[in-house]
Amino acid sequence: MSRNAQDLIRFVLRRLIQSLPILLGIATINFLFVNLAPGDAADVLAGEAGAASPEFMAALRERYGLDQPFYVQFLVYMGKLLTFDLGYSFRFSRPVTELLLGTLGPTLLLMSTAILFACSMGVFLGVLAARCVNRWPDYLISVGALIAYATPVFWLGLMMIVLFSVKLGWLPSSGMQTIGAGYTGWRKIGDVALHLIMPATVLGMYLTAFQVRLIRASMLEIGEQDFVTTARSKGLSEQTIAYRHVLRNAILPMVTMVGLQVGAILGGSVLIETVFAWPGLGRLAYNAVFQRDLNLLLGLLFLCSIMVVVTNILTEVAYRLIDPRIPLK
Amino acid sequence: MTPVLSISGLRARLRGPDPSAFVIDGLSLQVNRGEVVALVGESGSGKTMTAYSVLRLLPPAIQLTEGEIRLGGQDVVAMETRRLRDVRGTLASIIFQEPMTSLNPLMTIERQIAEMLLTHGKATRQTAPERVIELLELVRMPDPQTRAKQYPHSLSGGLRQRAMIAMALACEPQILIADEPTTALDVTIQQQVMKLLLDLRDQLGMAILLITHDLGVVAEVADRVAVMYAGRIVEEGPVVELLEAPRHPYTAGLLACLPEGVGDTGRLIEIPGLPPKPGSIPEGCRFAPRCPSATELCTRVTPETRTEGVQAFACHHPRMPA
Repeated sequence: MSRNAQDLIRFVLRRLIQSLPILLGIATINFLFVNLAPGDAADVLAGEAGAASPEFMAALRERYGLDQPFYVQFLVYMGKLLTFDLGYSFRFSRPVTELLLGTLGPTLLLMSTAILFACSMGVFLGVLAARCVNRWPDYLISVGALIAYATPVFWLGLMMIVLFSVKLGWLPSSGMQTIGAGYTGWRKIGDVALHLIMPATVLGMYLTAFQVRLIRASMLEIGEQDFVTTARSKGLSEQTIAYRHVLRNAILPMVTMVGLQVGAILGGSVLIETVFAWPGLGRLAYNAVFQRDLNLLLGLLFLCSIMVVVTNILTEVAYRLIDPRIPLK
Repeated sequence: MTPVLSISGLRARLRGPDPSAFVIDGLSLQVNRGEVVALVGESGSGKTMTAYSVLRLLPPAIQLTEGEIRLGGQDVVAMETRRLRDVRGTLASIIFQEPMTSLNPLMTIERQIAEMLLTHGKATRQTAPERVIELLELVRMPDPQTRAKQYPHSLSGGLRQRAMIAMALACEPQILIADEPTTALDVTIQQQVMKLLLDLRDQLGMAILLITHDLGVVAEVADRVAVMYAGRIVEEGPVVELLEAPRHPYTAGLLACLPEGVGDTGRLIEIPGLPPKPGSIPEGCRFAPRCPSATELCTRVTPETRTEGVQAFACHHPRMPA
């Protein structure tokens, strides 16, 4: 194995260990905040049952440990967390871990597609705008980006459903697969991809607009540097200069931005998954909040913090792979 | 024999509302095969823009309006882009003042030099690495095998300039344009790089157009000198004659500014005033406002360039020949 690869692995391990206290800190804050809200699972269960005697309530609380003092509940929660036991969801009557693992896949698929879409469109349109600076393609792209940036995503989602599903009938309006079709193999992949188009586009729209403007500005700035004149003096074509020399340097801020925006995308997916009935973490979170499913909510928040931490490590790795000047420290 | 580089009547101006904002204003210059010509002048005299214009590398804010630039007989100004790209690097190459920023920070030295070879079909992917090492050896890069695999940030300024030179010479151009190649380097390294350039000239037989404001360097390396002031060449001649007996008061002023010229007073001498900015160039001789021997004639009539002996100069009141 090369020294570089060894450095990289050591770096990732070090970062993972460093992030453990961060994750525990986040878990603590989550627990405190969630418990600040009035009402507990027993209230909700009793409320749904229509009527409940105080004895029944007390029995419920005792069964779920809700009658314990606050610090005891906290210590029990943290103790379980350390053994990766996220507790039991009373609403779904299933372990939280099982629920999370079942919905993590669709969300990761949706998020990574949205980010990939945003980055590729961002690069393509951003480079195009920078190369046509102050001419009509630039104006068109910049104004388009501004509009995309300013459009509320849930509204955009609804409008796309109206247009592409209801009026034109091109795309499915909700879900991840055609219900009852029972596709397998390539047909299944194609079916999922078709369901993915709208939610991923809408989810990635905001980030795309961001990236377009970022790449454009960054391309213009890098384009004035001396090494670009060097590249031109070598007889390279403008196309080669833009993509080989300028873009690689201009892409660094984009990588930073993706790392920072993953949290926002995760937040956005709550909205998008609800609008498009996508069976992911976001919709689960939405339900968890409205059903006072505190264990599930805490589990979700914890999983999200892990995702953000991991993305940040990946961002740093990507940075190092693109820019040799940044040491893996 | 056709000169390697021949510039005649070149004018370039700043794009903008002022049509008279010329940064190069009627410049003519020739560089012959194997010759080292120094283009000397203060900051803002247009010497760097002249260097850039040879390969049509002028920044977008500056526009060539008139004149002809011939590289090996071909007119660069009229050339279509496709052909221009073939010429860049093969007929003429350029190295810059700032070796710290003129290499791409994200590419290895090898890749940047190989790119030059591959672009002009001087090597294949298989033969390029070997040729890159040869070039690095040519510019006396220490430990070329290791350096080739490194990124610019691991190299010192002097070594980066060597890498730039290796890249510039990769396709064996007939002329190397060196825009203040040693200004950003420290003094000991300056000597090494200048010596390297001269040795390479002897070895490869290329011409060098050296842009500089350092008359000390000029005295050591140049065959011929052209002195530039406010976008125009005011005096031109062989290095020895020109430096020993300058005819134009501006050249004389520049020479007097050298610390070696300090007299008994022990004070450094300077030329009073500043060069004019593009767009506010005075009537008549443009050096007149700063010239000790200027008369009323100088502020009215632009002096024609005339040749006496081996020197050419544009002045109404030239200094005495030696």
